[in-house]
Amino acid sequence: MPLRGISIRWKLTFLIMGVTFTALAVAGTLLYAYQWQAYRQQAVHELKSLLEFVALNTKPAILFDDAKAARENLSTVAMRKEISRAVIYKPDGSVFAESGELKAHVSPRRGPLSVRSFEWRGYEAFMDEPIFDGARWIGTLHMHADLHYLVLNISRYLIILMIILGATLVGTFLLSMYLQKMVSAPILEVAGIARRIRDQKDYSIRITKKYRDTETGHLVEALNQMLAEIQTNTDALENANRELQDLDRLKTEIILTVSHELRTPLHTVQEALSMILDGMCGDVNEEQRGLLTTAKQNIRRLAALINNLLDLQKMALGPDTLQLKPCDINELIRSMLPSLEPIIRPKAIELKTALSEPLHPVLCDGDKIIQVLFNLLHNAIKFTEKGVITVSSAPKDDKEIWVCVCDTGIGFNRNERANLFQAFVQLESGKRKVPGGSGLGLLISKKIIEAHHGRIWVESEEGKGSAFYFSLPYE
Amino acid sequence: MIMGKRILIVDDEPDVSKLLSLALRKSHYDVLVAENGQSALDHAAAFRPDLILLDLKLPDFDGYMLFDRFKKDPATAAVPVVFITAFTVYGNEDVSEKTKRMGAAGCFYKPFEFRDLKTTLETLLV
Repeated sequence: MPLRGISIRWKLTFLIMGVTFTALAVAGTLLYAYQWQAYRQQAVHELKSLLEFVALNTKPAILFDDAKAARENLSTVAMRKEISRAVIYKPDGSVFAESGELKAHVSPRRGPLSVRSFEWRGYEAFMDEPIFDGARWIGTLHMHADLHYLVLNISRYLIILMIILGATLVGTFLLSMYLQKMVSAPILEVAGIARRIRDQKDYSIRITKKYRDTETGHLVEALNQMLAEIQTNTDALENANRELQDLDRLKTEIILTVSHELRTPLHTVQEALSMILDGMCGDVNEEQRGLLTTAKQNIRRLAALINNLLDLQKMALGPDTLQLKPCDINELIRSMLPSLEPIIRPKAIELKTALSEPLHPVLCDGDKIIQVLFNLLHNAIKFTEKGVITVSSAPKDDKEIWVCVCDTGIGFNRNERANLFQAFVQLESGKRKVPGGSGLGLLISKKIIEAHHGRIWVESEEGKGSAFYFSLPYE
Repeated sequence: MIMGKRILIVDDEPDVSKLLSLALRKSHYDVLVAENGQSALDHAAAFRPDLILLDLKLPDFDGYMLFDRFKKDPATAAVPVVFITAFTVYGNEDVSEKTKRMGAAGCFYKPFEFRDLKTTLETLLV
């Protein structure tokens, strides 16, 4: 529909003008056809009378074989503008007499001479009138008429018609401009107010002008009701949002404060334990040392939990907190592996790397990626008693880098896998409970990778091991 | 060398300063504890510390502000300051980054190992 994108004003104008034009055009065409028909009938009638009259007048000239008189007669006829040729044929087909010069090109006549005929060919008329003396055929009068002049007459009608058509269209245009102004002005007015409301986001504006019980009036009423509803909803949403923001601020504050309040007493407990363990306060026997060491390990675990909570809180602040620099992922991997040495040593684990070299540097926060690697490797070591842990890196489709930490540990089943990246989820089945860990490591890793617009996922088979992957996009 | 080096501890938590000063004294340092910023400033001139251990949140002063005061005071301007704090983020800023930028000699998050602090002190107080 070509009118779809056009304003109501122009739709109305086009519509009115289209209807007017069509009506005038149809009326004009019908008038023209009727007029042409009428002219032609009149012309035929006149021509037939003329033909009979000339035939009658020429009969004596044929009888007396007076070609000159016949020619004069014919010439008189040919002076009429529509008659272009008048001929008298003898029964044998030879010309007895003919009107003078031809006025224009004249198509040749057709058909037998002995039959009375009146034939139309376009605007030309061919007439044959056999002349009889009693019952004897003595000759035939042939006339040719050219009725093009009728077209000329009618063209004048046509021109007048065109002028009327044009004038009407102009009139209609002006009228429709006025009409549509009456129709569309209130709508435009309402639309203007609606636009103002949208731009200023001020839903307290109401359309106050009265349009009484018109279509516009109904529109305005509906619009005002909608505005009232939007205002109510917006206010409610804003309030709810403000409350949520307050709550979020409170949450951040609580986490920061609580972690601070937790760290200080933890610190004193740890320091006291360290001092005793370091022999600052006299000798410590093996049993005491064992108990104090366990106590200290658990202090460390609590401290790690607090650190993780803080990390999580920081990651919640979004990707803005990342310090992005181009990093060689292989370099990061190599740099952090030695820190794992103390927790690998007690186990029969072989730590291998399969790094794709060279890797294009990727924009990331190196410390955070090391934290992810550490979390993944720490888990892998925790859940593997003996076997192989492999860290591998590879480019993927020139768009991202994939890093995989793959172990031959206890693995996960489907249910465990589904919940793995949620807060405080740790493997729980009694025989497999491995102590240590906050239950936040994978969640933090996930947040870090997602802040880099990457993905983290796991493939695992229970009892055979698991493979944690993460991807870092170049862009 | 270590013997008799003076360390000023500024911390409002009595338990923290008690244990810390105990451990430092056992490591043969001379220790003075100030429980708030004002008393730290009052005592610094007379005590002439070789190093200051500074908490971030004090009852009267912000640790950062106190740091600036120490640096402006000719008596303490050259003394290295090590922050000891339970905050990793303070005033929306990462504490270790901010203290490093300010020119602090170090930053320890509680709970830290006394052993690690001691190593740092030994390097700073050669």
